[in-house]
Amino acid sequence: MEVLRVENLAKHFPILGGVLQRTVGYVYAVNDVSFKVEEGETHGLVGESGSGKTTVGRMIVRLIDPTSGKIIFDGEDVTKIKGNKLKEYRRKVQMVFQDPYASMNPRMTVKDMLFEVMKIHGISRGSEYERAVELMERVGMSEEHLYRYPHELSGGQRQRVVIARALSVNPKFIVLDEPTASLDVSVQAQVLDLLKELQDKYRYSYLLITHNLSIIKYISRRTTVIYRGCWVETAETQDLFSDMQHPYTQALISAVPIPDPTVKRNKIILKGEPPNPVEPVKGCPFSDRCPYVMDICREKVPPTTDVGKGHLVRCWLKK
Amino acid sequence: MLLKVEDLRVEFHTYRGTVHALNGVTFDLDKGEVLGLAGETGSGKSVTALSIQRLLPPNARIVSGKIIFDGIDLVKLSEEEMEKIRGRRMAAVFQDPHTYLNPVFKIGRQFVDILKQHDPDVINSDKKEKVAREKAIQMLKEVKMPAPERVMEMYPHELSGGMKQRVLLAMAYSLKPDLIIADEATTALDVTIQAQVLEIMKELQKKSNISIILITHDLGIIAENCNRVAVMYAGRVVEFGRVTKVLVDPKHPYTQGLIRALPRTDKEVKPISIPGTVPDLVNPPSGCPFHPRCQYAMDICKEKVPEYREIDGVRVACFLYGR
Amino acid sequence: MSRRTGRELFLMDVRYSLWLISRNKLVVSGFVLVAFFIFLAIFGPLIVNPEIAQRVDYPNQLKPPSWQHPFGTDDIGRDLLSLIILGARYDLMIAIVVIASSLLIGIVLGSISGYFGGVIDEAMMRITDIFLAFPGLILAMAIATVLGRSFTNLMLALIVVWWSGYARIMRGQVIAEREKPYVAAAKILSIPNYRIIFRHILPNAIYPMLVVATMDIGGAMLTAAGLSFIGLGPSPFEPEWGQLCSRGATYLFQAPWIMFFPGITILFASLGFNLVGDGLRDVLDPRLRR
Repeated sequence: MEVLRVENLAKHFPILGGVLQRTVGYVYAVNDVSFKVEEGETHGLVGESGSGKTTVGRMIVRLIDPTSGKIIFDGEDVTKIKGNKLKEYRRKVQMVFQDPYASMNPRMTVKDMLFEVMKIHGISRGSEYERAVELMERVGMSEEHLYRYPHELSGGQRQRVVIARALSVNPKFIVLDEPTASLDVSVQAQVLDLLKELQDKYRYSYLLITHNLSIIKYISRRTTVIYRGCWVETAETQDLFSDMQHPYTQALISAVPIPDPTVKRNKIILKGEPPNPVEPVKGCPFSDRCPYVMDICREKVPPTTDVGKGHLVRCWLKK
Repeated sequence: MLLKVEDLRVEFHTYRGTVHALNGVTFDLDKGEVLGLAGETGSGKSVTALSIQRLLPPNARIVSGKIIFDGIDLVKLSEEEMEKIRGRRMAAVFQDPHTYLNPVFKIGRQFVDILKQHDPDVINSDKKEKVAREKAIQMLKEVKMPAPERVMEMYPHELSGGMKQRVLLAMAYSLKPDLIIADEATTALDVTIQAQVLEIMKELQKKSNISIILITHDLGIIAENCNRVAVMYAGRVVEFGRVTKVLVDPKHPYTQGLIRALPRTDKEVKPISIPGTVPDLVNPPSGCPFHPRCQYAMDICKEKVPEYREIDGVRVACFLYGR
Repeated sequence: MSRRTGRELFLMDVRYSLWLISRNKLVVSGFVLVAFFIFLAIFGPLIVNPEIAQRVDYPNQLKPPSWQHPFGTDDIGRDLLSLIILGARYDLMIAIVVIASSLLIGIVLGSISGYFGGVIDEAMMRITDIFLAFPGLILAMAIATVLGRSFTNLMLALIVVWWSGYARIMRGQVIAEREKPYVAAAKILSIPNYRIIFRHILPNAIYPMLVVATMDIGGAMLTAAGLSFIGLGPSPFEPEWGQLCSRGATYLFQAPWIMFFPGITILFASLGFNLVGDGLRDVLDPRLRR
């Protein structure tokens, strides 16, 4: 059962300049992203800086409105909804931000935060405290943590608190933006396991946005790789790693350092710099850095090729 | 033996009390070696880097220990004597290029100024500006900077993260130091750019036989670029040896835990966290700082701090390997 | 870790603040000065009998400082020290009321402008531009002249001049805060805008303002005294410090103490507030804490 589908999402931020504040250009943050997420599963969205992955996440939760494209949630087109419908949508789709400390009000205790959310949505009226304790326990923390301020919590604890806050509205779908980026390695696994556990128990669906390929491999079922705001490859995560199709995916995976000095492999070192999103995309988004680039790549957008089992790639090499 | 750090202890004075940042750091570095300093937050790796360069903030104090650089104990040097070493014989590349590149000056200007100050070839010539400029461009070429002449005329904000790091690397390398300290130099970079920069660093190192201390929490970077590694926890080096030994067959429970906690792209593993949190360095635990989180903790671990023992060519600080 | 109530945490916060303050001797002296003047402002009339002090006493006029009159007497024989003590309440009141009111207006308008942006913001910016374009003193003079001499009018004039500065600062703070993740998180949790502004953004944005405001109390005091000096304040008989200086100007060479002592008092009072503002800045900056 499909819970979320995005089709050809694009976001171009206008750049204003000059005395009269005219639009002098655009930041082409997202150009053409499409993927779908099945209920109860984790879908990974992988890309580096400038790929637009965070912008995609923000569009899905409607913090930003797409320039074009569609977002379909539970069969309904939610791209342009407003007002009460939007509020309803926000109950079902939540987001956990990259830096948990920055996404909490430093002057509120955990209890204040959870209570505030519950009051706004009218959840657990009369039994807010019990609910708050239950949420804490769900994320592996205890009642006493309710009385802490963000700066009194460790990195891992803060991450759990923002997860608890997202869970307090009983969402169906959670966008996780770099959930382990601010955590120490020794603690990352705890948070990932927690997310997995919650998914198993409560059937949450996740969009995991990250540049960290190893956590993608660990918890996401399917993954979409994006470059310069366009999707270039999408597949079941296992297939993505064992049978990489797109040259960018190959370079990306080979660039990840492996903590075992005895493993020898060929690293593909990409030339050039990460894309400048002020330039619009012509043809294949990867054409300026691809080691196998051909003339057609610069001219025309590569068509989608299905290499089997829903493993899709957009590359002229496959034609 | 280019650098030998012996039992270094450093304290910071803060409102909350005295922070015991380094509690007996010991390791060494050969000429031409790349040493990895691995650890998470609070391990003391950055403080170690600052101590070696004697760039600690005013509320810090080197309590005891030695930092012997090419036969000289840096701890005992005065600031003037230290200035001769910093920059010339020892250079650094840090994580955040924004704080080290002045945003209001062009790259060329900053680079030339550094050379004019420190480079003997430039100082001794009569056409200082010209010589310095040429050298700067040459160095940018060494770090594979595209269009180096153009880059000289650009401001820091016009460069990407990877390019800025390459500029810092070029600046560090230009004075042909004996030692370059890279403190999380690639942490903020995209993984493909990181691969680029590390590749360049590797080539430079091979070419010039410079020693490098690579400080990072990423064991993958250490595995692929370092000869030896010192794993740090709560201000101590808990394990020190060749990467082929330490990362393949870790001896210290912390190192074991760290490696086990990593999810991998090359094989199927279930990452397992290390329970508990990093200790508070104002009130560190008694005895071995890792004992509250260690699955093998014994009574003696709570009472005494373990000494270094040598097992299989690796130095470990753990009572599991003898009292 | 043991459980601590919000109350205990608050007290620890206060203790920490006091510790930070106590470290800087200058700041401590600022607090002492301010406390002293506030004390005078409140208890002035109890220390010195206003009727006696303000009584015209020609035989005693223009007497230099002595044991009986430590600050000398003015041109109508009043003891200057008593007048200065009585005047404390006027000057402090003007300054505090002006700053507090300007702050309130500025915060509300600035937050709304900064948070919503767009047309509201543009309109607000143009309005504040107009107010800020006038040299403050001249604008205040103009308003005070039009309204006529009195305490209230002096305060009104100063509020009109001062609010736009705060609105601008607040707007800037709110704009900086509204892009931060905790605001985005609040939006996603469907927290209504007014609550986001006043419960989330405001407490975080307000601290720099408080620092500026505290220092401004000193500035307002100086400005009020200045306006009063040129005759736009309360009546010439009030013991307000600016007035005293004004009277003293006429006798500058015969009896310099009449201008000197009120002047020095204004100096120390505003200095005290400036130092307190300085100390507050260190205390309230969350980044400097822990």
